[in-house]
Amino acid sequence: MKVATHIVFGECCLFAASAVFDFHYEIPSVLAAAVCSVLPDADYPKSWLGHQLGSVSEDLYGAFGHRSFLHSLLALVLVTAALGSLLWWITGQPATMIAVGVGYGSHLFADMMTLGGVQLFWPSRLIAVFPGRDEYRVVSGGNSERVFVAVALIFALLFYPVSRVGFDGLIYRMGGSDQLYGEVTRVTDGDTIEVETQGRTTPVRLIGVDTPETVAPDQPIGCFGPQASDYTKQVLYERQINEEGEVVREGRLVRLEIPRIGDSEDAYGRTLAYVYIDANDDGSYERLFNEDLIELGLARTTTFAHTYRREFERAREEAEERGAGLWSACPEVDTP
Amino acid sequence: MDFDTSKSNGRDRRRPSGGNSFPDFSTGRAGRPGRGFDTSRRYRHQSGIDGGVGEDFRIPAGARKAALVHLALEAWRAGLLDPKELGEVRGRDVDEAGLQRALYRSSMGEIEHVLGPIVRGKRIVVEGHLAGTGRTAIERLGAEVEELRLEDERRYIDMTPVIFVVAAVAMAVRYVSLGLDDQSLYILAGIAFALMYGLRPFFFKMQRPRDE
Repeated sequence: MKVATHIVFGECCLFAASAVFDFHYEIPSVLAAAVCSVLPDADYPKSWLGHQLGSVSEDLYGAFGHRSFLHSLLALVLVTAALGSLLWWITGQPATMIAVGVGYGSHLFADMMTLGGVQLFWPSRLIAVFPGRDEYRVVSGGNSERVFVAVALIFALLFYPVSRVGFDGLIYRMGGSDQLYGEVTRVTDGDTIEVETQGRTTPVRLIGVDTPETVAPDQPIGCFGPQASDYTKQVLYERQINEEGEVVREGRLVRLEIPRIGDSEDAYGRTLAYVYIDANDDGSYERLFNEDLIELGLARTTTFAHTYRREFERAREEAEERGAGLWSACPEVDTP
Repeated sequence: MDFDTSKSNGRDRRRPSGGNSFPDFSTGRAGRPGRGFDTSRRYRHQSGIDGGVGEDFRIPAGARKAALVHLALEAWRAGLLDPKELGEVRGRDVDEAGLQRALYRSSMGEIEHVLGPIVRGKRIVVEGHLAGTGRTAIERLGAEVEELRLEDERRYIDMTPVIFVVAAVAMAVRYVSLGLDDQSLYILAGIAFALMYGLRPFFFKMQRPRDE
């Protein structure tokens, strides 16, 4: 198969794996998957990679032959363990190790779908093929390979957006959400507030964020907890004054987004919601306050599935890299 | 009365004259040899290994019925088998193609009944591997079977059944997700299982034939 075919199929597999197996990736992982998806062809001097490697490729070809050792499960495990852990150590992202395994494995799977098959269980000389019937397999360089790469490209384009939000995110988005507008009447701590809506006061727990404890009776005050609590008070319990200087309301007006999938309340009877604020005073209520807490390093992310889990994790990683808030003030804090 | 059922309408000779000049009665399409059922010597599998001394019959590799049919055809060529013993021949004179059709229409029990006295104590060389119960069936008739394999012969392993394992895992994950109260996992496993179940006939078709 051609280099382009392997790269497209490798990326398709990475996006699919990210969507299904719930890990998020960044550019280093995409590059690692692309490189590793062509790596097994180092044992073939006539391949693109073989030309680049020159005598190394010829030596590998002489020692093992094409589609043997480098196309086996043994090589997959060795390369993932060696190259994957090295990239993990360099980038600090575990997803790069998964990308190495997925990219390399995609090459083996793609070659297994060709007429020649691969010696997947090397040193055994059995040739693994998928599917078993010869007429259903791809002819390298033929029209069937063009069809294969086109289908892989379509699936890659379909899986890419799903991989960015995760399968959980997709399901939660498809399920939709209920919207409520209300006034914040009290801030309990960084991630818990009370909102008066439709004449009732409702305790609200912000979804996907976890600020250090400040009011839990059986727990000490957490590192950076008071700062998180103060910030939430400052933003959400800000006294609203009109142009004449009169107090309109004590708390801020917010929009609550309550997902229809999953529990709407937690174990303490608090409504689980995303809190949006009108940051530009144009009535749009598009600024997600939950994400603000993470970006400023005032909260950690939770591990359970929700609509914006992937986005929150990306924001948390950026905050961690910047050393924002609790990430520099509380170095002993555990990363979830 | 001669009810010739062959497509050649009686132009081919009725019985082989012996030697290596057999006509091609290939069942393959567009002039290509039929896979595993080609009776012509022109397309015989070249094993590269000569049979042992004193072989009585030599047949290509195949499953039980194909092996019995080839064996019966070989016996007929050697003049040891009377086609009229087969019920499907219905007492007619048949050429090789007609006999082959009649053999495939016959039950394996009937072929074994006809072949039994002919192959008892004989040595049969198979150019490859007899799949399934082929070897047992011939040995039960009292024949000695030798299967030829090349040292550097390519041997394939069909990975298609892995799909069925994935389908089983998807089905199990649905119940696991119910226990974990994980809705998105339940939906994902459900989609995967529905896909596997829907494409099941295609997956069966994708599997490598047992004779290859």
